[in-house]
Amino acid sequence: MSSVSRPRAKKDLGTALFGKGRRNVLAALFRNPGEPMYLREIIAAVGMGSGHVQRELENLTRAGVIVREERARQVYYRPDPKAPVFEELRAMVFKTFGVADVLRKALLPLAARILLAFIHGSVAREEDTARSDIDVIIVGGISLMEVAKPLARAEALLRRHVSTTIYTQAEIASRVRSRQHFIGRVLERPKIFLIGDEDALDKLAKPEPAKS
Amino acid sequence: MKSNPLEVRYQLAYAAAHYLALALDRAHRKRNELEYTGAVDVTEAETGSLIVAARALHKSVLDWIKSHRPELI
Repeated sequence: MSSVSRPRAKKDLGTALFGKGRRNVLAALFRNPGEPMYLREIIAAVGMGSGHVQRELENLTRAGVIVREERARQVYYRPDPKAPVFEELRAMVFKTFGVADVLRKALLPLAARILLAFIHGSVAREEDTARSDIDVIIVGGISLMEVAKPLARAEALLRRHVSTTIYTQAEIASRVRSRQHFIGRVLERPKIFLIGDEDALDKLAKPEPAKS
Repeated sequence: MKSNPLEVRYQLAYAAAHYLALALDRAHRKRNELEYTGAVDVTEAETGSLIVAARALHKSVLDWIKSHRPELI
């Protein structure tokens, strides 16, 4: 007679692959890979003990994943773009526990009223620089006032501006129907979904069936 | 220990003002992007939100003037 075991709580990919500490250090450094961070900044961002963080930084520096620099009596760390795994790590961090994760968590309290949310633009195409805004589209019955505070917190954490466009369901469907240039371009280009997925977007953007 | 009702009102008023300031800052950035690059989309939903926020700000300013500098009205 087979026994039924309850599924364990889901572990996020970053923690499963790297362990929590290393995951958090990678997340802090790769959120904005062009911007070096000094040691105390990293410790504050990671939220773990300084000894633990410094050991992780030392390991990652020895492995050639990050670079350590001294400037004006401060020690800075940044991802090394010449590392063989730089692009892979950057993509992995971004999609799982980096920028997308920060924004997902920021919007989670409002999720009941958000039908769809995704990152588009240069960040989704992985063509962004340290100064690029993170462009986000949100579809739902949500106001500017409601997203302002959670997104301000996300911006402080990411050290980048988050540029939002908020649509109601009716409005996005109308713009797709009228083949508005901006929406058309967004829909055909890469996206990173925060809430919902490509199927949900297709359904939202579909014209309403004609009433008989 | 009971919280002071005045302190509670202060915190709530500060929070409301803070949300308003954050929302208006976001709208300001979007307006600049629209002005300088044109590479953004403006929606009915956001315009409606902005009007509500602008009216709230207008009322706050007017209320302050009425209570502190009524001679200006």
